[in-house]
Amino acid sequence: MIEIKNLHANVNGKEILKGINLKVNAGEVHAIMGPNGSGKSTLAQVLSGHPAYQVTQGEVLFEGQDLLDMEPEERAHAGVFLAFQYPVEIPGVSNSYFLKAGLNEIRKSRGQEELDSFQFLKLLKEKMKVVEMDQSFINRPVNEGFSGGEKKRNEILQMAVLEPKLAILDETDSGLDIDALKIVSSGVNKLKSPSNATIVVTHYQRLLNYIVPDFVHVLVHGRIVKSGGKELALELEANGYDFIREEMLQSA
Amino acid sequence: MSVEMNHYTNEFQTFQQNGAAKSPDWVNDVRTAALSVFTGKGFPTTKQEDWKYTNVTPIARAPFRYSASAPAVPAELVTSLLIGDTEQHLIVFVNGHFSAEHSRLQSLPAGLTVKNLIAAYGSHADLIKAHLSKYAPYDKNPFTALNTAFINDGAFIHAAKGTKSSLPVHLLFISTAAGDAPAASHIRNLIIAEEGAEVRIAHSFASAQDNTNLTNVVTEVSAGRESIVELVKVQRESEKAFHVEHLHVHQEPRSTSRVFSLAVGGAIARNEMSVIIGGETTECNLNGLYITSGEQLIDHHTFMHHIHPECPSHELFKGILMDKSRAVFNGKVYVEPEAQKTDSKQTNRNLLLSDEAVVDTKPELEIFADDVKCTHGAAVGGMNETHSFYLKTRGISEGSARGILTVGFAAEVTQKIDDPVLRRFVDTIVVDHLRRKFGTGNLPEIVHA
Amino acid sequence: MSESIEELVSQEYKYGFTTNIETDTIPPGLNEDVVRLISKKKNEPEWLTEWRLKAFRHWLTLEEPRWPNLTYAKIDYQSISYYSAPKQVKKLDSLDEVDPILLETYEKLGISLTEQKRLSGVAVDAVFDSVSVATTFKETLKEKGIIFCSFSEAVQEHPDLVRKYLGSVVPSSDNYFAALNSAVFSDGSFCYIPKGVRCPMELSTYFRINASNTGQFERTLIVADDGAYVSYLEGCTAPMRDENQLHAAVVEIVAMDNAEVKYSTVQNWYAGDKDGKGGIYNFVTKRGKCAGVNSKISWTQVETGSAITWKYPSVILQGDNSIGEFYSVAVVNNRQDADTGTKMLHIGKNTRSTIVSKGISAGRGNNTYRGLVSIGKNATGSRNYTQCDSMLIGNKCSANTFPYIEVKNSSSSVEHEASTSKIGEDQIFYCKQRGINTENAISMIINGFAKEVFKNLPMEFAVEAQKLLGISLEGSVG
Repeated sequence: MIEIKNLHANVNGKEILKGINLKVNAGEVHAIMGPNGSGKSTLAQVLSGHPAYQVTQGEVLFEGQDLLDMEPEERAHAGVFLAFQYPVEIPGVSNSYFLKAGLNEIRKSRGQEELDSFQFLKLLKEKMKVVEMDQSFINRPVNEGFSGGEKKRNEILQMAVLEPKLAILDETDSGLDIDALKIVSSGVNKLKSPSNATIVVTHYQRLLNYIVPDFVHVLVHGRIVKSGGKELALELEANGYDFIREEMLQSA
Repeated sequence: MSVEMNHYTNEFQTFQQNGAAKSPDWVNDVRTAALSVFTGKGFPTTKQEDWKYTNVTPIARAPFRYSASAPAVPAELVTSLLIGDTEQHLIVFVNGHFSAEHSRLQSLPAGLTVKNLIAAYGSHADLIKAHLSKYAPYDKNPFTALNTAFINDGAFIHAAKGTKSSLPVHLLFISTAAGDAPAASHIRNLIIAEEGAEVRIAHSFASAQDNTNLTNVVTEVSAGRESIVELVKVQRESEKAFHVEHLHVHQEPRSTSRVFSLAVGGAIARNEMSVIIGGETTECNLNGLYITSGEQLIDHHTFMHHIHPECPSHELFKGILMDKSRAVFNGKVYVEPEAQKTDSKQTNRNLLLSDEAVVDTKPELEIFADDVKCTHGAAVGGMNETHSFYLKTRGISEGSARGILTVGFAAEVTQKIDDPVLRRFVDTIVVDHLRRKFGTGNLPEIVHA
Repeated sequence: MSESIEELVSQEYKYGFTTNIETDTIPPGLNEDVVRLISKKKNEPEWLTEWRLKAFRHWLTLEEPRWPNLTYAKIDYQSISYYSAPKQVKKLDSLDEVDPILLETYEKLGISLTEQKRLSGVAVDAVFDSVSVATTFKETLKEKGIIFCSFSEAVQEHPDLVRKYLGSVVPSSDNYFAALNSAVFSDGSFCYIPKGVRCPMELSTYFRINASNTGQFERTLIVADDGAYVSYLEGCTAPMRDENQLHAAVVEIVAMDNAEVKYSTVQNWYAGDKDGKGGIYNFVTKRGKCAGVNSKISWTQVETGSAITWKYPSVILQGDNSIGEFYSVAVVNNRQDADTGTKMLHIGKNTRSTIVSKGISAGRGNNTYRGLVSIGKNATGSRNYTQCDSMLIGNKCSANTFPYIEVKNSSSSVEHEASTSKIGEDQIFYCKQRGINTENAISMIINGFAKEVFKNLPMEFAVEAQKLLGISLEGSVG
């Protein structure tokens, strides 16, 4: 589904990603773990096209298309979704208006008919059940006055409505208590299918108890230094990131 | 004397012969004094600090005429300017003259008086004498002097002790072309809320056509002890019109004022809003939104005068600028030595949607008391990149994101309006206006948290 | 830390002494003949005499500005002597020939002019009343091609450079005080850093007013050619006298492509006594021009002295990607008035500016920040960030903030934040609970408040500045 080859990226002239290689197939869940400042979130932002990051080398193919050549909204139309670590608040604009605007532009780009308000509301209410969200959120302004957990749940609701092929969850577990974590994870799991893929970016292993990855990659200093199965996450939890660093030193 | 001043001296003589006859002698004395102040000062120039960014030469040059009566305006126009479907207390003025035909003042609650000033001289003479021209000094601002010289009619509101009005009172001022010369209206409003009263007022200005009128308003508000006054101004005159208002709010102890200014009309529009915090633990909220396009210039000058201790004041003004338009914001917070424990916050944010638009902003603090917490902030910039990125990742195009975020930017300040009916009134006007300016119906309605 | 605070709270203005030295002082009064006489005494070329006269004639047409938030007695420009110099007419070949009384004066001020005693990192030009009396480390600098000398010497030795840049940033007609300075300026420092040279030491000018009834009108000109770098320090003191003295200086900085100039000031002119008697009237025009691409000019000032301060060190950001910075701490106590701030004029594309201003008001002091951030139509992609904080100690002082923000394009962004508050009572209480007395606690809190500015000062200066702050606020807590 997505193939990242030797990806290098800068922010403010500083190189953060130093050659990432990663291939994700449909139906797979990949976890990207790493210490603070390793470049995890940068990878997520670069894949969705944040203008502050400059790609200096490498390529990313999304279903055979050059992803890096696309505008952020074109990537969304193609089926890339980013669940933000810090979702943006938009006062005055209702959740439903916002989501409907996005969904209809995506549908339009795919040659599908736009949904009218009635059809959309029906869909929205169904999806809200998936993430156990109260219907009062339909008419509340986007993320404004939401608690941390509500914001993250709202991200997953958006994912449910937009039905991306590739979902990237950026530190979706940060700031969540255990109950919210369970609800959010179960939402993600319900949305999983053989035809879509998920990249979970996280610092802690905790989330991976609920969203079980097929592969775990460890990112340090802008490079993937180790890959393995879900047991690698447990190993990291037990030994911290230092053991990876030590391994790196020994092999160097 | 300059040509301009000669014009106004002649105008004053004409006015004395007809319009002025309806009011008491003492008002006439005030008028004469104000005229001599005005002719002495003349119109302000950009050399004066208060007018540095606002050139009123086009107002000074135009031979505005006072008209003794007002042309008729169609009922449909009035209907289109009302606050949605809500029943309301409505008083209408056309070119500064009371229109009994369009006003709806039958169902006022006990204790609430709403009438035109000329009529009120008969019923509330002493009250008017005690308040009129007491809060708006005409020796400082030439437009206030001009207005005072031509004091004739306007709205008079009196809320007796403890009166609470659940519905807003709508003061609607319509300007319309009158004959060949551009018409001037010098509107004078007086709003008195006695102890414990609660009133909500829509203070709205509109044009009948694409006309070049001068609307020069002075509004004095006296908020008695423990009263609550919410005044929402909506200025949507024609983009050829000139609009000047000096609003003075005088607050007694433990009163609360909530003033909001929406300004979208006028070729040149100047709003001065002064709040005198004249008693301890009074609260003032002063907010506003201006949206400029074409070659409009909209100027807000606010003055928050903290005289007494322990008073909070909050001020948020936001501006959206398009095309070659200009906006000016000057917010002064003045804290007297006695006003200890003042808690004052002032913010001005401007969104520039065009490279040819210009913003001049000047938030000022003058603090003479030490135990205070005063902050101000000002920001000017284009569309927020992080916000628009978020929308784009949800599939929304650049153009739609711009519209949605502009509505969001506006909503952040309209939500400061306390009364839900008035808030909806403003929200609707804002979105309609933005839809017109963006040339698309595809903008969200505003919702609030 | 606590030792230095103890030291500082027990001090008064320690630079208030007078040096008894024979001087060549011209009688008070100002007219074209006086301007000519100053020019003649300095053996100036014809063009400079004319330049002065033109400025003088323009000055006569101007009025003293009334807009600042300052209160001071009317200045009688005819009662001031416009030239005073220690009698030492012959040209010096080495520092050893400097009058020992002068050397002693500077020793007392903590500025040793004897090179071997100096910290090797700083070269000093010492200006005593109207003239430069000594410049240290000239030879060392010469090896690098750096010119660092008194302004008078530069006029004689490098007339072409002076003629090219004098008035290029602050025209003689710029404002009332700049015009006056242009007419009667006496001496000052001149500095030229050639292409690609990084000045190996801090350059410093030390200004001292000594004679009474004189004004000091120095002129400083710093030019950093392509890729050059220099850090420049300025210090000032004056004796305690009952009458007010006028100081109207002009500083011009030019930074060419990729050049960087850092200018730091610790201004400690005599501020007058508790009742506002005496003190320096400080009316200074300081301006830098980032003429080249990627150039940078940074002003850092600690203003503790003067009865009246009127000063807006500014940057014209002309070159694309150029950077302007202004870091300021201004303290007023007793009857001091300060109206100070900066102007950042964004003209080139992608220009950046940062303003950090910390105002401290005590006693009956009156402190005003006045600033302008102007983003021109063509200055696309530009940014400004301004932070302006004021602290009040006692309820007879005042703090004012008057920022002007003018933005003319949509790809730029300007952010201004300001706050005014009382010195934190809970912080003082916390310190006291830990055994620190009130004055020391205040000193500590104030130093913390101003830290963002101090960290931009060269090390030695920063220590000096911290001490000064304490002295200025001495007695501010009843």
